[in-house]
Amino acid sequence: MTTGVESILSIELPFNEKLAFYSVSFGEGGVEVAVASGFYGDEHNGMYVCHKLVQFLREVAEGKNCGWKLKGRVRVLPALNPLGTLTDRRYWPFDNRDINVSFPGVPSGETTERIAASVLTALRSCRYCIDLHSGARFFNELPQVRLYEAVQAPMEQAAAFDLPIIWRRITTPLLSGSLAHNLNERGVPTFIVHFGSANRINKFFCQWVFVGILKFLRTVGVLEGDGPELEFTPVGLEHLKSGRTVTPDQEYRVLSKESGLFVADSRVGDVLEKDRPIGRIIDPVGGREVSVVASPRAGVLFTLRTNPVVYEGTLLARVAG
Amino acid sequence: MNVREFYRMKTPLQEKLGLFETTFGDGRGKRFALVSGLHGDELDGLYLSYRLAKFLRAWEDSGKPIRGQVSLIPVANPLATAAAERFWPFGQIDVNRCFPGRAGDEGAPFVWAGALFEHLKTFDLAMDVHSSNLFLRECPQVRVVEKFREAVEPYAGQANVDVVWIHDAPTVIETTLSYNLNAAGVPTLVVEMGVGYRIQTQFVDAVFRGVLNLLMNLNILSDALDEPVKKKAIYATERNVRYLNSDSGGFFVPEAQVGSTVRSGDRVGEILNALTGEVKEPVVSKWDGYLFTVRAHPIVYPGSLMARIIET
Ligand SMILES: [Zn+2]
Repeated sequence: MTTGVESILSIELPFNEKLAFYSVSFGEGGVEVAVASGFYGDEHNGMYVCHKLVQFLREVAEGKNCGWKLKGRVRVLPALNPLGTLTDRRYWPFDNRDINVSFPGVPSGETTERIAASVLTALRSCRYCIDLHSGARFFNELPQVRLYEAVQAPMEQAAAFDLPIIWRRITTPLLSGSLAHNLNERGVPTFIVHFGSANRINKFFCQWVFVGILKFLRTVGVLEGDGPELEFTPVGLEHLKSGRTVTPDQEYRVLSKESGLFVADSRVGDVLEKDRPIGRIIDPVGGREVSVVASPRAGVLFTLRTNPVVYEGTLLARVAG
Repeated sequence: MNVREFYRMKTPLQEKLGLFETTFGDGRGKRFALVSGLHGDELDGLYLSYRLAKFLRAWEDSGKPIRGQVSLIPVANPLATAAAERFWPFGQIDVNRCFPGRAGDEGAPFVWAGALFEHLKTFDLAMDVHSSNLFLRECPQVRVVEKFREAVEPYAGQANVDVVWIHDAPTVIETTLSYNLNAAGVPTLVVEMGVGYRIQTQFVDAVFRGVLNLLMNLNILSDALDEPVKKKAIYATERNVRYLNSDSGGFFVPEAQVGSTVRSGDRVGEILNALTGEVKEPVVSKWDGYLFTVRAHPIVYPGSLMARIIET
C-alpha cells in the first residue's frame, strides 16, 4: 500500500478533545513534493484543490488510472488551521495569531508555534513545496505563482505550473516568519500559489491550479504519463499568455485616493490600456460618484478588491505592467 | 489646555475619524507626548491620560507655569477602542505594525500610522502606553530595545516602574511606533502594565507619578511631586528572564500576584480539570526571582505562557 494518512500533530484542546493535523501521502520513497493549504481558516480554494489532487493520486497509486505513474512520493496537507476552518476564523481562533508568521516555530511553545514547528519538521526534507492560498480576505487573485526571494528553484520550474503570472516579490520582515521563507532558507524551493478569493470556491481557478500542479509534478519527474486530466482551456481568458513574470518594478498597485464604496467595472485577467477605468468610488450617503479608478499602466489586472468598503489608501487592484 | 484634532480621515460613509490631542504649556521648553490605545483593547492609558489632564488643568488654573509642551493622545486607534477590538477593525490589522506608514503603503491603517508618526517626530520625549493583551497581566514596566538603550535608558529609570526590560528586537519590531520614533531621534518609552480590557488603577497611579517625575526632569514642571521618585527598577535582560509554559490544556486559576517575589518551588497557580475535579498540573516556579508577568486568561493550551520571572 502506497497510500498513508497520518497526523503530523495532535493538539490537546482545553476540554478533553484532541485536534489532529492530517497529512496524506502517495508513492514510494522520501517525499519529493509536498502540497500544503489551509493556514487561513477563511480560504477554501486550496482545500478543494487538495481534494482533487488526493482523488487523482489515489487512483494513480491504486493503478486505477493507467495513463499515469507515480515516480516519487507526494504529500498533501489540506488543512493546517483546522480550528480556524471549523470556526470560520482566518487566524488561529484562540489568540488570533497568524500561523504563517510563526515559522520556524517552537516545539514546546504556544499553539501556533507548535503547529509551525510540526509543519516545518514534516516538510523540511522534501524536494519542493507548494503552498496554496486564496486571495487575502478582500481580494480576488488571478492564478499566480509567488516567489518571495531569490529561490534556488529556477524560473522554469515556476513556469512549469503554466499559470498566467509569476510574481517575484521582495521579502519583508513579516514574511520572514512564513513557511515559504523558512523552507527556502533550508533549501526546499517553495512555490506559493494564490488564486480566487476567501470564503468562496472558484471551480474554474481551482481546476486551472490543479492542472498546473499536475504539469509541475510531471516537469520535476514525480509524475509520468499523459491523460485527459491535463486538458484545460481558460475560457474567457485564452488571451493570457502563461508565465508572465512580474518583478517588483512591474507591479503597479492601485490605491484608493478616497473613502467610499468601490464598485469594480473590470475582472481579474482583463488586459487594460493605461487610464482604462477599473472601477468607481461612490458615496453611498450623498448619491455621488466620488472618483473613477483608472489603471496606472497598460497591463494585466491580476488582483482586484472584492470587498467594496474602502478608506483612503486602501489597495484596490494590482496591474502587471 | 487646548483640545484639537490634528488629523482626520474620511470614512467610507463620508463621516470623520479623528486623532485628538490635548496640549498644555507655553511652548517655550521641552515637548513631551503621551500616546495610548494603539491597541484598542488596552485601556490603562485612558485613565493615565485622564489623571494627567486633570492634574495639569488644576496646575494651570492655579497659575503655575507649564514650560514647553505636554501632549496627550489617549485614543490612538479610536475605531478599535470603540469596537472593543485590539486591531484596526477593518481587515484586522495591527496598527503598531504599520509604522512609519509611508504614503503608498496599502491600507488605511498605514495612512493613519503615517499621520501619527509625522506628528510625533518633532517631540523631545514620547511615552507609548500599552496594557499587555487579553491573556497576560504585567506589572508596570518599560521595554527598551537594545539598539536604543543609550538614549532611552536614562528616562526609563525615572518612570517609577517595577521593571526595565532590555531586549533584542525581532525584525517585526521595526514597524512599531516606538522603534520608528527612536530611530528618528525621539527617545520613546514603551510602558506595559496591567491586562487588556481592564483598568488597573494602582498600576496607573505608579506610572502617573513616573510621568510627573519625567516632566520635572525635563524642566516642564517644578515641584510637581511631594516626595521624589526613588523606586529602582529591576532589570530584565535576555540572560535573566525565565518563561514558564504549561504542559497541558485546561483552565488556569492563578494564586500568585504579578509584581511579587517568588522562590523556586512556589506555586503560581493550578491548571484544573472541570470535568473530573482534578488538578491537571500545578504551575510552579523553577527559579528564585521577581514575578513580572502572570497569565490572566484562564483557558490554556499546552505550551501557553503562564508566567515570566526575572531570576535573581
Ligand atoms: Zn499594546
